[in-house]
Amino acid sequence: MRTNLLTTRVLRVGHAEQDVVFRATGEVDLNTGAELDAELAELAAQPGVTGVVCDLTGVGFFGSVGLTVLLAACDRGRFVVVAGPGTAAHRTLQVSGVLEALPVVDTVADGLLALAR
Amino acid sequence: MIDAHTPDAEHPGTGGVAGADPAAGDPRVLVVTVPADSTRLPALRRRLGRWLDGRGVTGPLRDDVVLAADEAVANSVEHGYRERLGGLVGVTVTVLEESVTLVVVDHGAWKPPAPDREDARGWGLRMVAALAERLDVVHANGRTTVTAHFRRDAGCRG
Repeated sequence: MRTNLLTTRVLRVGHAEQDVVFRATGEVDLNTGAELDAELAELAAQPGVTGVVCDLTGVGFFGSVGLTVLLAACDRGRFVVVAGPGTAAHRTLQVSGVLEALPVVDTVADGLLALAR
Repeated sequence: MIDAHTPDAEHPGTGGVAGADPAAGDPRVLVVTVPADSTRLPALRRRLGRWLDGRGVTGPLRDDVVLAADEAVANSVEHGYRERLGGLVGVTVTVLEESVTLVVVDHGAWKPPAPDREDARGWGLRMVAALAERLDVVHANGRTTVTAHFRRDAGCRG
């Protein structure tokens, strides 16, 4: 089900093989979790996408359903989450303990650097 | 109409806070009954957030209580009423000087928690447990009552 609760955008997709930035804004909850999962799966399956920097800085609410989505995305390939301290996603990652299980950085620049390493 | 949070001796709707009777319209107590429907969650989060703001519960604690409420109600929607339509979930929040208490009640089917399962279904109440200072989950008399206690002392939060 598509809702107006979550908006996503893919940046820096060119023709060459490269890492892309996936930016989500809005709310990740029981209504939008499946939508986020489907979009990340679709992105990972695109030819030429070598890695994904998932920017959750603009997500104002991040429920536990999002944790499953991020862990699944991490299993699909090279994946870094941008969720600095103070963001909703950071709090949920921290409280659940998933912060230690995923590569989480503070900025998109750090995310791209992490993938380049 | 079923009142999903009718207090009783064992499970007072305010989480056992003496003197805070929801029926009396106490400004320290928010009582909401929502259909067990995930599409109601965003509005519930906003309403609860605004209400907490109005009682001086702001910042990270406000966000934690809203997150815990969402997880607990989502748990009722996903587990309690998965095979039944028309269920109701009662949400009661009590703000006192030193504490915030969240009580979520449903009349759905009881399923024992599966702490080993690393999936979203196992995560909901574990999130509430991690967010709150104390969590009690009681299944009795055909209802499941989730009570989460938060301290209003910001220095004690993880």
